[in-house]
Amino acid sequence: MALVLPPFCLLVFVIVVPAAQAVLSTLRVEQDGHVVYSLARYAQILHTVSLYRSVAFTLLVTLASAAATFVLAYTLALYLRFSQGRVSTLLGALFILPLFIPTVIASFAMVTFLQNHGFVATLLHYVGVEEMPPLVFNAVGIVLTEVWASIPFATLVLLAGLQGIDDALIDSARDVGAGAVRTFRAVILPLNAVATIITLSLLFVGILGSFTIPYLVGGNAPQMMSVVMTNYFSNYLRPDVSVAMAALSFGIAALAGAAYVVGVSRRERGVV
Amino acid sequence: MTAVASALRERVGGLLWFWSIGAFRRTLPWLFLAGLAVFILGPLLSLILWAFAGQWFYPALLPDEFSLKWWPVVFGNRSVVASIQNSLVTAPVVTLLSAVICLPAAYAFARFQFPGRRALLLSFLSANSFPKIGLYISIATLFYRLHLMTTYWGVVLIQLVGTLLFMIWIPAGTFRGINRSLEEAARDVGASGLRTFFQITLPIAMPGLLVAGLFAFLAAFDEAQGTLIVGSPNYITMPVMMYTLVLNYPQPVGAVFSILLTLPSLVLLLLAQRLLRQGYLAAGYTL
Amino acid sequence: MADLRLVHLSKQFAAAAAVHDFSLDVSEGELMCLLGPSGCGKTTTLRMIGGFITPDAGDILIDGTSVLRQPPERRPTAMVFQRFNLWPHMTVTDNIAFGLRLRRLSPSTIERKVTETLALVGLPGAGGKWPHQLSGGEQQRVAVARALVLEPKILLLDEPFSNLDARLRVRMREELKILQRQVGITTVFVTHDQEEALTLADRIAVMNKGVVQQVDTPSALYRRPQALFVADFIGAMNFVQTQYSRARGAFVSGGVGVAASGNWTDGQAVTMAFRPEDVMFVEGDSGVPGQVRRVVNLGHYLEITVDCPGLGAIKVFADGQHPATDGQHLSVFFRRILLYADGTSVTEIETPRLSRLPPADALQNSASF
Repeated sequence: MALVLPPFCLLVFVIVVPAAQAVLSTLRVEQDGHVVYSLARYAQILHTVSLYRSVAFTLLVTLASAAATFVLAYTLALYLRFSQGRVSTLLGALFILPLFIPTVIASFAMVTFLQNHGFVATLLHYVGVEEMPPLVFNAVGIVLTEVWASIPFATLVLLAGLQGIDDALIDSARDVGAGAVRTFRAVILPLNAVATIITLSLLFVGILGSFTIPYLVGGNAPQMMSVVMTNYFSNYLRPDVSVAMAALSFGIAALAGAAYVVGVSRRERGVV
Repeated sequence: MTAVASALRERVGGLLWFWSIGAFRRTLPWLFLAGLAVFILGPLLSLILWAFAGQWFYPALLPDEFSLKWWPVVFGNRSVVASIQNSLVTAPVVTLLSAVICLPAAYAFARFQFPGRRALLLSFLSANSFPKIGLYISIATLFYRLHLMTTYWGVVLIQLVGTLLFMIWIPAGTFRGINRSLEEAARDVGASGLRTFFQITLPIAMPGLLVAGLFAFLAAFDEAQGTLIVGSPNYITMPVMMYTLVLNYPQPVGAVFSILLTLPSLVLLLLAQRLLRQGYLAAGYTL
Repeated sequence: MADLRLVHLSKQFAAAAAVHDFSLDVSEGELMCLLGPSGCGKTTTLRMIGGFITPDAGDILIDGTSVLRQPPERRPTAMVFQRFNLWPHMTVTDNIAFGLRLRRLSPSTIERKVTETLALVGLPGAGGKWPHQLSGGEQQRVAVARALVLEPKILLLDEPFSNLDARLRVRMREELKILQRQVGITTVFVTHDQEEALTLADRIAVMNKGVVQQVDTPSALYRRPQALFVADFIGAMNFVQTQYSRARGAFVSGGVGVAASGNWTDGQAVTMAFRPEDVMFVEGDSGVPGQVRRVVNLGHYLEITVDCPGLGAIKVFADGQHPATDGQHLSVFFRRILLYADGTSVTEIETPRLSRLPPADALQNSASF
């Protein structure tokens, strides 16, 4: 439909074409004075210690953050769906807050909060704990900040999915004798599968590609791929490596995206 | 690590036998709330305190000295003020442009079944997953050729791309939620397709569209990476300014600027409270 | 005031034909019902008349002119949907006036028409209210008002009362009938409820799986359903599967035979159908023996289920004067039977001759009753 063209064209123009150009350029390698298409650059990346460590580190941090966010968000969503009362209202107002805080500020706030001699350290000092393990400029800091920033979105999607489950379905499970855990496993989890898949894949993709948080909260080594990319571009003046890393990162994201498409399509064709 | 662990274990250990008591289980939600509150509000609180701190040394729980002395430093800095102005001039324009080009598309996605519909919808999602740094060269080359680098319209364009997702997905969900009979009834009494859209569909969809606009505005306002690429060094917005401030200036300066940068978001949050509570937000996240 | 002609309308969705070769004439001022189970194509047909679906083949003529090329906003039809009729962001007056304002009538004319039409549907003074302030029945009335105020040639209604509760439905039906007679507008009404159709319609078109089964007045449909489907769908009906036996000259089922004359093939399968009110009780041994299984008291009549060996379970309507008790033995006798067989049109037998047949024995003279 013609109506869809304007934003799509914009997308193609500003993102898709440059991306395609960039990826093509990474495939062009000089060999004996000729320009040849090969995956040599990618092989090179995976052989460089610092670079493949960065890839592994990125995956680790992304998975850890996504998992932690998911568990926390699901707990929140379940509580908000099935309880009323003061706690519910307060939680409802609370979890949405990070959505309105720009990522830059969130990162900065986390650093001041978690750093050596920062707020947390001060609180622990008053409880009698003197030595605090480093919580920023490392993986822990990145994970904590990513979780902080991702809770609103994850909770919203899961909550929307849960709200689509009629109370009657839950009640009938309890009626035949299923306890809370059993009801969750047998009724809620499957019926909320679409929202779960969306949340997990979007969490993964979002955290994988995030730049600001690792940049401001991360340490010096190992670093997330997005920071490495920037360094190779701005500081080491090796744009080719930078773009190759970007393509790699996009490839990993595409896998998660594919899982999302497959998972959602299959379910939307199903009964529920 | 062990020092912390053993200290905490000492204190927590004594509390474990409470679990068997119902009273404890009933207070569990409150504890969860408290924990979450500390996690979410803590960093923000510390930031606010820093913005008003004259001197603050460890291990004081509050600043030793409260003062507003860092505020004039921030406002006195010409590039800081310029960045504030730039932000306030680009974000609203981006939101409006986004609405104009995306809403018809959102309507098409909601109402019509056409080949490649799902693929197109997903393409918006996937295109945003490609790291912007990787696009630098290509975008830079492209924008150079079009004389868009370090210009207002270049920044608008790159911010616009980031808002497409919100301005299509949430409105599409909203439009889909409007029963077709309402539109068919309008056509039945003689309204053309266009008139039906403006006089019937749009007013009914307005709350959802406002939520979408809210998110688009925030996405444009907070956009840092793309603006860094296209705008610097001449055209800098607030988030880009923030990078510099965080890395090169004392903490209170960053804290003050953070409050300024967060202000529009919080104002919009208060204004949109009613809309958010009505569940338009959650509705937009369904597919 | 106009007549409607549907000429060989067809519409195909994916694999199945939603409507197949549907032709219908609706005369001026008539209330025609499209009746059938879900998926029979009645709503599809209605939406084709309204212009919301384009037929694959056929034509639609209003007052002799084809309206096929006209989009909904140009057709002289007005539709009342099942749900979500009223625009929630407009008052009742604005809802009704919307179409009038499009036609650029003067404000005073608009105001007058709105007031008149609201009075017509029994909601005077509701103009300032918002849709969410109205009950379901009131909302549908406003929807009807909005349709009528434009003085369309054809009024289309898509199961408008099915979302209302039972008592309200009955009342709205009666009011609609009176209103339609008063205004005299040609109306097409879609429903799956046969009782609704029988009460409202001047004529009913019964549909099944996209094909029209029979178009007739309610009483004709009830009295002489042409096809087995219609016999089953309209009212309550008893069915017995029988086989024609040339040797006996009767339709036989179990130990019961119904005398028959005419062109029947030996062994032909024939379905026998009779209304519960056409079953009489007789004393003693005359008629087909049976035992009462259940008696349901429906207030002004009794519905009695009788087990008859050879016929199965039969439903009988009886008045309260001759009550029966569970387990009681009695004999039944049918006043009127309809016969359905493949490849023939329905046959009717008034006062059939029943006989009880001896079990699988050599031919004997069986006494008739």
